[in-house]
Amino acid sequence: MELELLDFHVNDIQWGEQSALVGRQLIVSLAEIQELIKDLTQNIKLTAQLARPGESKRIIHVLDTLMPIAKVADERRTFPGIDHPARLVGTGRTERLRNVLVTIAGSFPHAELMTPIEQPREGLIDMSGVGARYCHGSDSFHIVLTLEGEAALANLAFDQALRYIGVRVARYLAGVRKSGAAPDTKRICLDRIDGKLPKIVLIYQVQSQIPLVRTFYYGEEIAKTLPSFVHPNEFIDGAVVSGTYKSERKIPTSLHCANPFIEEMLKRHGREIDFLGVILSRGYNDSFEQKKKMGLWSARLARILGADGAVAMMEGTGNTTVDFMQTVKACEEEGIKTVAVLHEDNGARGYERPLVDHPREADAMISRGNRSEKLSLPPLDEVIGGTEIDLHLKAKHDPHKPLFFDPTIFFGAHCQMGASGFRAAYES
Amino acid sequence: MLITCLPNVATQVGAYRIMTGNKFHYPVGNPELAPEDETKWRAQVLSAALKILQTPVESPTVFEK
Amino acid sequence: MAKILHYLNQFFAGIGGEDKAGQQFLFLPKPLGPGVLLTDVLKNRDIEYGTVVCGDNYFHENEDAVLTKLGEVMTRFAPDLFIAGPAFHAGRYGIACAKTASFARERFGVPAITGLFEENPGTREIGRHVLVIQTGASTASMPSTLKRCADLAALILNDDRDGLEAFKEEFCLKIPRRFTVQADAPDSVRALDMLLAKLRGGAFESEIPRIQAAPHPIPAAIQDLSQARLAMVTEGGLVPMGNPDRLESSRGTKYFKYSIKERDDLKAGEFEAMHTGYDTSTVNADPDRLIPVDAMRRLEREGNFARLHDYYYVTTGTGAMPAKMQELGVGIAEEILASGVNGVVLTAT
Repeated sequence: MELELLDFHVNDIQWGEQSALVGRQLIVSLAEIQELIKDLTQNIKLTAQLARPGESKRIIHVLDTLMPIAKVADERRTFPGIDHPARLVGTGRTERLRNVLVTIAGSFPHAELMTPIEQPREGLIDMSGVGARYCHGSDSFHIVLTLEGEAALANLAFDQALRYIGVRVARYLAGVRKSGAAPDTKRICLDRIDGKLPKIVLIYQVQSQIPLVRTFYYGEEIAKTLPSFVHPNEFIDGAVVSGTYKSERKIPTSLHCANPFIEEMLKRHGREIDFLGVILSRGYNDSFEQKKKMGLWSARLARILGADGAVAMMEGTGNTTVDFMQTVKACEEEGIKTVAVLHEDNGARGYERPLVDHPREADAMISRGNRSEKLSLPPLDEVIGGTEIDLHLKAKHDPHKPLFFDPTIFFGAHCQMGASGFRAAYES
Repeated sequence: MLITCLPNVATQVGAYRIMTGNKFHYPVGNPELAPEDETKWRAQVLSAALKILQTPVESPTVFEK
Repeated sequence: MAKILHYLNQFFAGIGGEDKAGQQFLFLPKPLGPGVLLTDVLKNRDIEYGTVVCGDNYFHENEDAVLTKLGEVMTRFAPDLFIAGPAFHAGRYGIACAKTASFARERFGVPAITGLFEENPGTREIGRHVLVIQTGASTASMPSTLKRCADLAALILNDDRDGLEAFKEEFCLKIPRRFTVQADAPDSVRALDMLLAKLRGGAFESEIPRIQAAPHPIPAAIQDLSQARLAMVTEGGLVPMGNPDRLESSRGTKYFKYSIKERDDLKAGEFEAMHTGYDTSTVNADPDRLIPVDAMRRLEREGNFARLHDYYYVTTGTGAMPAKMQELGVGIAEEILASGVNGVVLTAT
């Protein structure tokens, strides 16, 4: 299974009459985007803005980010199964704009009708300043689409519309006319490796519970499913799409498509490791028994694939840590050496026990830092996406005033704290 | 005594009398049963909980239902 | 010229003892008490000295308002250094010193010093980068503490980093706490490196320690249940419809009690769960699934125990810090103990 991947990098983004990539400048036509999603925005007020790395801009109410990816040279589509009948992806040719994001911000039309678990959590992207290293996307060029659903629209219709808008615009941007733009071209496959390199799987546990708090695989909600084998190329082509709005803890769609763990394993494949692929599992199972079984089945799948070792990472926080740790425990019991990656909750003062659950078997942990340590965040010049920061349903905050809050206010914070190389350590 | 779906977490924080609840969305619920049967089921669960309250322990203990 | 702002309680400011613990927050543009002694030691420097004073009780009863006022003074006076205490083994004062020093350091980036005895509860409230000079338990160690405080102040004002590190090593309390630091590579790279080391059987060090909770006393078993009064408690956020007391839906900071007197079961539409950590719809359809009034009444009628307490207690556990939950737990336990309750069934989501 082989994918030819063409990565384009931009160094500027501007509005223009016709969308195109000229050299390293991306020109985006708002009129073309409006036309493209006209049928989806009947009851949605759309505002579009641009944001570039280093600018004094704070994007608030971020719901998802998508990387522009498109299949070329055949009729298949990226993000299979979301808004079109699914076909298998992961082969053929894919073009993408590696440092561009389609960023969906905004508010649901009927927040008052949401149960507490359904409520989106605030997610900020700071394009510069202290916060930039805590949020996903501050190093990318953004087309921010702020969506305000009108009263006529139900929450679930808005949820679907924002996902359709995201994937449609992401495909469209990756497919724009390109001139003078030289991509990096890679051939991605998991060749059979001869020799004695250790066989490694990536265990990838997502959050998927109920509508508004879910993850899709080929457009199907990953709920009550068994752990599945997924090829890295399927991730790259958008087979996994985020539909959860638990901002700081979510894996944004753009990180499902270009996940640092998958990329690192592909990079070392054939040199240091024999990368076998990804086990996609689901956390937040409803009972201890179910959590344990999800771990057992993941470990069994890793064993059948022939894994010597596993790296495990997860989306979410709290009780899903138990599902995750049951997986680590089961892998170790199956003889699969495992390293697990987690954020810590050491509290603002740093003395709380770091993890909700920490069995003896989890003896090789990678930390993503203390997510409950307070940060002093001066305001940025421009605010995009809304008018008030929601302090996780407890208070509203004027985004033009200094903010003193922990990293949970940032979009994709768990992932980005890890990618920024943050970890927690003892200090006296 | 504590009824929780995460008995391993309860053990780690040092709760002493622990019983495993049904689902974390409803620790003493069983919505698949008819209402009267569910109440009977729940009374059995709580009856077991009362026995646990009367049982001496020396370390964090997860009791069978 | 350097500016120092010093926080003192009513006693060390010379206002009075316990009878003056209600003293309101005030600012004076001069040193008082330990500050006078400090300025003596620092007399060869050009220093503008300010003092903020607050009664121990007043601070604890009006913490947010006091910190707001302190913030105004910090902005106006713009100190180069903040000193609180020393508080020795004085608990309320120690907490106030820890909180004001942390506030100055975290919100204003001003170097902050305090002095505490190692068992002072204020050691649990120390913010990152706040320097805590180790003191004795009593004011007998005042002279040596102030001498060290002056030395430390000089090191900070001179920006002597090596001297500061040496001072911390020798004279500051070691309070092990975990904060975010910069590693040399992203998580994905370190994870794979660690896995390869583990697979080779080589040395590796887990980045997250496994920490056991401190054990607490074992509650005795109930000897005679037929005489016992039982109460129900939950962290599942169940409140009367409309959430009249505004219980938070995550990271609860309060607990409430609600009457179940003369109720045989809890009905849909009369109670609802405020909780972002689980799907509350099934509990909302029948709140007995969280607070099992129907089952407990049945067991009460059958004589299994003497009496069900008239109230259930509730907070919201999801995302909460253990220290806060422990504080709420103690509050609930004290209240129900005082009501003559012998046992508790606690449901957790």
